[in-house]
Formats: sequence, structure tokens, C-alpha cells
Amino acid sequence: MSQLRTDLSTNIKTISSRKKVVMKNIAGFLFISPWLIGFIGFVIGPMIASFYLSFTSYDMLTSAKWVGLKNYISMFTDDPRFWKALIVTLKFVVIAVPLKLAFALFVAMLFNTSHKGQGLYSTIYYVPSILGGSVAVAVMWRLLFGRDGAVNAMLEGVGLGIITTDWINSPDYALSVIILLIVWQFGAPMLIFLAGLKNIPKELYEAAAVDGAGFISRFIKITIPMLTPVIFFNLVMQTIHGFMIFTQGYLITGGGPLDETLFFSLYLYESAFEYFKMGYASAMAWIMLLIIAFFTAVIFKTSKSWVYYESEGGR
Amino acid sequence: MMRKYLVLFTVLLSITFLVIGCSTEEESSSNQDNTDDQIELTIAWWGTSVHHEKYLDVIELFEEKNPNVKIVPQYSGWNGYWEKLATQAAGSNLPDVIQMDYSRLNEYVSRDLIKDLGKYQDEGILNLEDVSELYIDSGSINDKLYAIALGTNSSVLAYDPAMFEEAGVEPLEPGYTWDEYVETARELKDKLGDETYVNIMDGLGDGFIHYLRQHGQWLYNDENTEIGFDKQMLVDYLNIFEPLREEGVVPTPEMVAAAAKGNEHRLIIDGESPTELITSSQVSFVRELTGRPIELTTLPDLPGGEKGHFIKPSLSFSVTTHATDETEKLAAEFIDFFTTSKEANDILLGIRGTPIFPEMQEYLYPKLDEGTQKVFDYITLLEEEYARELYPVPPAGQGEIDSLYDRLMEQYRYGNISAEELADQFVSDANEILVEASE
Repeated sequence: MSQLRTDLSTNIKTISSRKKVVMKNIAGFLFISPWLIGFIGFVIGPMIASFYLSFTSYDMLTSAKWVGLKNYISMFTDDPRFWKALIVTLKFVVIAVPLKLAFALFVAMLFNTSHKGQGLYSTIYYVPSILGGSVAVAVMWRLLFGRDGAVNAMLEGVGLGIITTDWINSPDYALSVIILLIVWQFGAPMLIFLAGLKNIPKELYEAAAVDGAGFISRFIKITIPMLTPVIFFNLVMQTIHGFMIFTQGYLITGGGPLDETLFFSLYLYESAFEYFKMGYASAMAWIMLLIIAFFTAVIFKTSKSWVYYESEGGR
Repeated sequence: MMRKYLVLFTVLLSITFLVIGCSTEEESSSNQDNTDDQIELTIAWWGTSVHHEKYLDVIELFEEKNPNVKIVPQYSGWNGYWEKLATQAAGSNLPDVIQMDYSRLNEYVSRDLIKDLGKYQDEGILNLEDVSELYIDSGSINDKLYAIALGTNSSVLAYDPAMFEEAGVEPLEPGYTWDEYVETARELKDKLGDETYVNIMDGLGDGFIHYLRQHGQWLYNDENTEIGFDKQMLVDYLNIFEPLREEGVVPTPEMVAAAAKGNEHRLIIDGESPTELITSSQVSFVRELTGRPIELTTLPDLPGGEKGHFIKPSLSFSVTTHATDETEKLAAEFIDFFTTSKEANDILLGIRGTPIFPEMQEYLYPKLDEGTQKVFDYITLLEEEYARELYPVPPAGQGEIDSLYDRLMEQYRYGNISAEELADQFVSDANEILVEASE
């Protein structure tokens, strides 16, 4: 009898404890439900829809028609603007990302001192990164580099009136203007570099100084190797960001002149919302995903040979 | 126990929010239906803040006269307007009345999104008896009435008389020829100096269409399945201006690209060109920005050719198929009020161009300022002497073809391709777009 009773009570106990666990989890799920609902509704759902749509012809006004791989095939075989957009985007990433990282590192090193107010300065220099994606800054950039812009006025002021041009509407310079804006938004990688610099043990520099190493060899032999994990992280993040560039191109140049700033996402947007080729645009989005995945994978693969992790004994 | 209720409460709360979030609109409208028998009418339009204010005033007036009607306005700029409508069409919740553009009419009608308004014309709610066939046709497809024009629009060459005077060049009187335009441009550039250029008319939508019509041709074939004009026409057309390009009379490609960024960048505004090809609905706005008197004249004439000019609806109201029987009738009444009532016209004052109703034209004319009267006069001049019937409703791929032309034109301006290459490329690429759009 007593045997039965204990059995029963343990049974009840496990049931109630299982119930408790479930209840506990429910509470947890409820707490993240705003995010979860958003994620399923606004990320997963649209992704599935876009994958389906990429095999259709869809103009939003009539229902989607299944066309199989046609979108993907015509993209590669029959659309010179698709290739142009790919090339422009690649060019942009290859130039802008290293420049931005180099500049961020340079500024981070300037700030890596124990001067007073260093925190304030790095905050101020971080501001462009917060504002960078905004419409206001893009408009400002357009005004700065326009034909009657401040840049031309300054050039004229110092007697360089001959080289003034309409920077934004010149096929030769339009992309550079946007690259400049992106480089100017160096704040995020700069802060990460700064944290990385502060983590490099002072003894290394001291020892090197004692051995008579100058600034440059200290930079190449100590700073860079010790920073590689941070460089790696920044490189991955900025490359992904770089491929997704949209706002700046849309607002400053609108893809022109001569399609010289027709970024991939800009062309995607144009296909979707100007020509209402939703199926084609969806297919482009998936190609973009593959391209970003490919480049990220390449960076990860090569990282083994150039990234130095102290914690792994310098493997 | 306490916790259990708390969890239950949270679940309920989040479900409530979800439900409310998904259905506010329907809920509130059905409530109103039950309580005060109100009918809700949704109206969408694009425009600037000036348009919005006037439209809202007219709506308020209409609501005063019809206390059982609640109008829900949806307004925005041109940018984003069609995106939003397309999204709403995909979600089956288009507004009852939408502002329509001639270039999109075919697209919406062919997809069964617009209702035939003929019924209300028969019932006398929409009275189009005095309206010129020209304007009724432009809102009709296959003899069905799909759009009521809010005003008329036409290409116009605006010029700054002060700059002509400064250069000592005779203004271009209606009826001048293409050659005279080239000669005048050259003279103007000569006298006005380095900082000033003279715009030419090398766009697809205004200049080239005008030229084609003068030669009795049209962009597309009757079925809108391929390009319908002779390739050489485009080459000849561009060659009219070729000497001006070589002599540096024409603005630089950079200037043209910058001017294309928006109406406020047009060259006439800063006095960088004495002429500018615009539409009559843009005149008041350009005049305001330049701050100087602006005169209007026709596009060049082709001696011995056909009339090139046309008058088209500046924009129209259409009733969508998402309107119910009840709102549909109300929509027709609203459109009638908007276009033919004196009260509404007192507010609008021809902001969407000359009304298509002769009675309203006469009623408005004395109330207008001098600049707007000039636009009315110009339209009358075209109606009487220079315009013939409008071109057919453009095909669904028109937007893409426009930007194809603009891109090729840019290449041409920067000197990357020749006029022949431009024409070849345009015809072959446009044909592809047309095939795709008609599938």
C-alpha cells in the first residue's frame, strides 16, 4: 500500500514537474514572442515566398505564373545590366571595404592613447556611422559634390578651378563619391579596432622597443598580427554590408550615370518596383544571397592561414 | 496559481493585440456601418502638398453635403504611389477611387482592376454630353469608359522672354519649324555666352513622339506587340540636333543628368537655358520656381506634315473593381462633384490643368491669374489649330521602355554610341520588353 502510494506520489511529482517545465518554457516563448512573431512573419515567411516567387513571373496585379528556371537563366544569358550591376557592386566592395578598414584602423590608432577626452573623441568620430545610412547625409553628399557644391567651391578657392566637375553626374567619378561616403562611415569598425588595440599587451611593444624596433616594424610585426582576429571580423561584416549597399546609391546617384553606380540591390529594386518584375527581382535576391555566402565562405576558408589566435597558441 | 493566471493573461493579451493589429480597419468600419449607417469611401491620389490641401478641402465639402459619407483619403507623392497601389491590388484591398495616369490605364484595365463607368453616364450621374470626344476617348478602352479626366495636359515649350530679349533674338511664335528651332538655339547660345546653353527636345515621351506623329507614325504596332516605327526616323530625329551637339550649344551630359534628378533642377529655373520642354500642368510650378515671367509656345511644326500635338488627360479618377455596388455609385457621384461642381472648381482653380467640361472652363477663366490663363489659352490654341487625336493607350511595358530610352540616350550624350547604334539597340530591346509584357 505504501509502495503504491510512493509510486503515485512520484508519478504526480514528475507530471507536475514536467508541467512546470512546459509552463516555464511557455513563459519564455511568450517573452520572446514579439521577436518570434516578427521573425516568422517578416523574415521566414517572406523568404519562403520570395523563393517561390523566384520561379514565377509576377507583377503584383495578376497572380504569379510558374515559369521554372526562366528568371535565373535569362539573368545570366540575356541581361547585360545584371552583369553590369554585378561588376559595379564587386568593384565597390573590393575598393571600399579595404579602404574603410584601413581608415578605421588609422583613426583607431590615433585614439589608442591615454589622453584625456579620448572617449569623447571616439564618440564624436562614431557619429557619421550612425548618420551614414540616413537620407539627410545622402542629400548632403549630393549637395557637397554637385556642380555648384561646396567641394567645387573649395577647389576654386584654392585655385584648382580647372579640375572642378559635376562629381555625381560624371561616369568617371560617381562611384568614387559613394565610396568616399562609405569610407567616412568608419565608426563601427573603428571602435572594434580600438578595443582590439587595447587588448594587445604593452610588454610586446616595450620588448620590441628595447630591441630597437621602429614604429613601422612594430606595426607590421606586432600590431597587425595581434589584430588579425579583429580584422577578420571587420572584414566579414563590412563585406556583407558592402554587398547590400542601397540607400546611398538610390539617393545620391540613382544608379547613374551610364549605370556606373548601378548596385545590385539598386537594380533589384528597380526590377521589382519600377518594372514590377517581382519574380525576376526575387531570383536576383537569391543570387545575391549566394554571392554573399560565397565571399563570406572564401574569407572564412582563407582565415586559417592569416588569422592568429593567441588563445590557440598561435596556430 | 498566481503564475498560471499571469501566463494565461499574457497569452490572451498577446492574442488580442494580434487580432486588433490585423483587423483595426475592418472593425472600425463595420462598427460605423452598424451605428450611423455611414458609408466609407476610400480615395487615393498622388500630388504635392498644394494638391493635397485642395483635395482635402473638396472632400470636406463633399462630406458636408453628404453627411452619411465618410471619405478616407490616401495621398502621397508620385514616388511610391504605384508601388503602394500594386501592393494593395495584390492584397485585394485597393481604394474605391484611384487617381489614374494615362500610361497605366491599360495595365489596370487589362487586369480587371478598373470598373466601366458607362452605367453612370447612362444614369446621368456623370454627364459628359458637352465634353469633347477627344477627352472621352482618352479615358476609354474598347468603348468602355474607365477614367474621367480631372484636367488636360499637353507638351509645351516654355521660354524665358527676358533672355530672348537680352540676346536680341525673336521669340518662337507657334508654327515655327524644326530648322528654325535649331537656328534660334544657335543664335541664343552665340549671344548669351559660355554659362548658358539651349535645351533641345530629345526625350522619347515628348519630342520624339511629336516628330513621329508629324510623320504619321506611332511607336508601336496596333497590337502593342512590337515597335511600329521606321528605325531611320529615330536616327533622323537625333540628327536634327547633331550640329548643335557638335557646336556645344546643347547642355553637357552632366548637366542633363543633374537636371533629370527632379523638376526643381530644370535648367530654365537657374537661367541656364532659355527654353525648356515641359507639360502644361508643370507651367505654374516652373514659373513659381524661376520667379520670372514665362511664355508658352508650341513644339516645332513640320511643313507639309501631320499635326504632332495632342492633348491628354493630365490625370483621371478611376473606380476600382474592389468598390462595392454601394461605394461604386457614391464614387461616381464624388467624381462628378469633383469635376463639375462650381464649389469644387472654386477650390481647385484648375490645379490639374484645364477642365474637360467647357462650362467649367468658362466659369474658371476669369478667376485665374495671368499665368494660368496663359495655359488655358495655350490649350485652346492647340484644340483649335495644332492638336489631333491622342495616341493609343501605351502598352504595359511602357515604364521599362521609357527608362531604356533614357539609358541609351545617356550613352549617346556621353558619346559612347552613335545615333544608329542607339536606334538599333532601342528597337531590339524594346521589342523584347513588349513581348515579355504581352505574355
